[in-house]
Amino acid sequence: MKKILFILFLFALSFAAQPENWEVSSILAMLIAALLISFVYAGGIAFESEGLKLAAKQEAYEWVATLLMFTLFLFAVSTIDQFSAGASSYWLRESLDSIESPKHINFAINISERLLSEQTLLLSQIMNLSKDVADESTKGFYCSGVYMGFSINPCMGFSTFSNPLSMYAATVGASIATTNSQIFLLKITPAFVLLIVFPFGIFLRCFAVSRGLGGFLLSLAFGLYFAYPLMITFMYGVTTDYQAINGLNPTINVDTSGIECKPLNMGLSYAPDPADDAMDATRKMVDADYSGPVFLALVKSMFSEGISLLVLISLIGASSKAFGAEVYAFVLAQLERIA
Amino acid sequence: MTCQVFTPEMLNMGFVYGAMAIGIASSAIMISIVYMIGKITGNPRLDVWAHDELPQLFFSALFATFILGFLNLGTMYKASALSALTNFTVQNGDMCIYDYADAYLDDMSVYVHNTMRITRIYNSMAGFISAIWKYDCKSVWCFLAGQGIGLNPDAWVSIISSVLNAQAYTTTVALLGLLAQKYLLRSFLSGGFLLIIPLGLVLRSIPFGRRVGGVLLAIGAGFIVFFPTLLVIEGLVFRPEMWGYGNQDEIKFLTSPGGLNIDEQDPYFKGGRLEWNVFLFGQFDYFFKEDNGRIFLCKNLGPPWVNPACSVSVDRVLAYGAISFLVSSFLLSLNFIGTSAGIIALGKFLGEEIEIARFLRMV
Repeated sequence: MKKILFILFLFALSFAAQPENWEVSSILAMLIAALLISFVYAGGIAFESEGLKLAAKQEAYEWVATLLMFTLFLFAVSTIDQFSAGASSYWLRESLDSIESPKHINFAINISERLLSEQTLLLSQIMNLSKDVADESTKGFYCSGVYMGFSINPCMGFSTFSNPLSMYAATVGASIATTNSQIFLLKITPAFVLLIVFPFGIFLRCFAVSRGLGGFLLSLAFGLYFAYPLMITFMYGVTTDYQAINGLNPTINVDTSGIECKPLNMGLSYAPDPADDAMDATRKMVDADYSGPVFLALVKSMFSEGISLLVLISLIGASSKAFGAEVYAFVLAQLERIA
Repeated sequence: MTCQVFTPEMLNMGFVYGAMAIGIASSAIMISIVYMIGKITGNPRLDVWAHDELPQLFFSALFATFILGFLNLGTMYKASALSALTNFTVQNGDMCIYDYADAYLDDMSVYVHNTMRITRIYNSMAGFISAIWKYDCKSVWCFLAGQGIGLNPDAWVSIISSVLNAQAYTTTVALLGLLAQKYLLRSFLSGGFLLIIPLGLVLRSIPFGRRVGGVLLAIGAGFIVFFPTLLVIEGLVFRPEMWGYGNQDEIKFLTSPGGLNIDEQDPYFKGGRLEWNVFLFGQFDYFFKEDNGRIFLCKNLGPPWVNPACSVSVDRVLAYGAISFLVSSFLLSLNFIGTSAGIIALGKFLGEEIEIARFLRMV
């Protein structure tokens, strides 16, 4: 009884959706499937074959399951805007009034673009810092006379900063790449899911021969359209809150203008000990607060994006079976080795 | 073009239909005989076997219709027909389904290759520029006895190599992934089309060859029906240029005389005036410049070096790399997962459990 009430409830709510082509094509696919099932059942009666009758009954159950999925998707698509608007105003204290539908995806794009601009700025700051360090570390004194000469590199110590800075830049670069792929995936999702994957998925799931692929496409549609953008928003909210509470400034605030290593006094007059200059400069760089930039590069970017992707993969893996496909979706998780 | 090369007419349909007809007829005769013997001897097991075999004959016929129908659909229908189902504007819609899948892989290979070229150019330029050593003569003693301070003024750009090194590897794997898919598609459309499907259909019509036939059909259909279908679905939307991430213009700008004019075949990227300009003006033609928080690769258009021409920023190059990864490695995995899901379900329908997930994990 409860199940029937639940289905009726979903049907009632699904009328809130405006019918578009993808819905019409899905309904058509289901009608064709119903016709085929009735043919199989008729064949079972004609041939007095229990096998055919059983197969037709099984298909009828699957048909009802597909109908339920279709209704659930309609319901979810028609209510996700209200849900995401309410959740973001309550939790993130951001209004989605000015954001176009589908709000949850466009909002996820919006915050990913914000994240991208922060990352790009951070990369440029790392490069600026690297510029000052590299200038000093490559300084060399050169002297040559007749038949002989020498060169020394007294500021070589600054090059110790180069490796961590290179690693840091590579991490931020990877974050920028990940955020870009996230934005690309989010941008294509409304068209890809609503116009292609879902109608195809429903269509293919209606028939026994193509149920596996259909079920996989449906699980992909649910994961991409709902779980992925919501998870991105959720992770952004969590990390931004933490950032604000702990006052983590994502920019590098190191004044490197005074950094100068003096290898030798070229005017042959007295000069301070170059080691003292190097120590001063080093102290400035080491004492600077890098917690904000590191948080941005590692937690807010890499970790959050990884978690969102893992949730998507887990959802595809878990839901594909419910949708009628047996897949090993965690192959996708192996992609990190390539990336 | 796949559709012109591999058409259903190429298949020896006379042989396939004949073999299938012989298989189905012999199966029908065998089932009738078994049914008759079951009735005569009053053996219910034979009776049940005969009853169970009848639906299998029906399934074989149904499956033959499905697969041949799809092959006809794939080779005869234009990709634009999909727009009726999806309400989505299809690029290159005049192509047939298989050609469309093939062309999509070609397009993406070009895209990924462009990304590789851009990454290589930026990497090489960063390596080259960072190594330029500048010598400052600080006193008159320079002329009598060489004395001064030297430094690499652009050593910092080596950090761009650190950022892009990983991308060079990722895009290489991405290109390999696309080429592997292209090879897989083509080989299945020839070998699979001409061998696996007919063999599977014939074996499926014979009771004792049903299991082997079922496996062959499921695998064949998986790579001939589901795999291209997934490629076509992706080809409709996963096109970087549709979403503002095209890189064809960028590679042209980097390499053409109207742009930065970088000769990729020149290992030193001299650009014609390098030594002369460095000697005379202390200025290298190419340099990386920061503008509004982004790093650009630029080229001086000549003295007095105002308004240099600049290519895309480093973070944009990273975006190309990210999308190359998505359209290749990510979609490759997705295609294999989807195809295996189709094969497993189809195998079950045909009465055989296929453990393709293990194979997938190995891949």
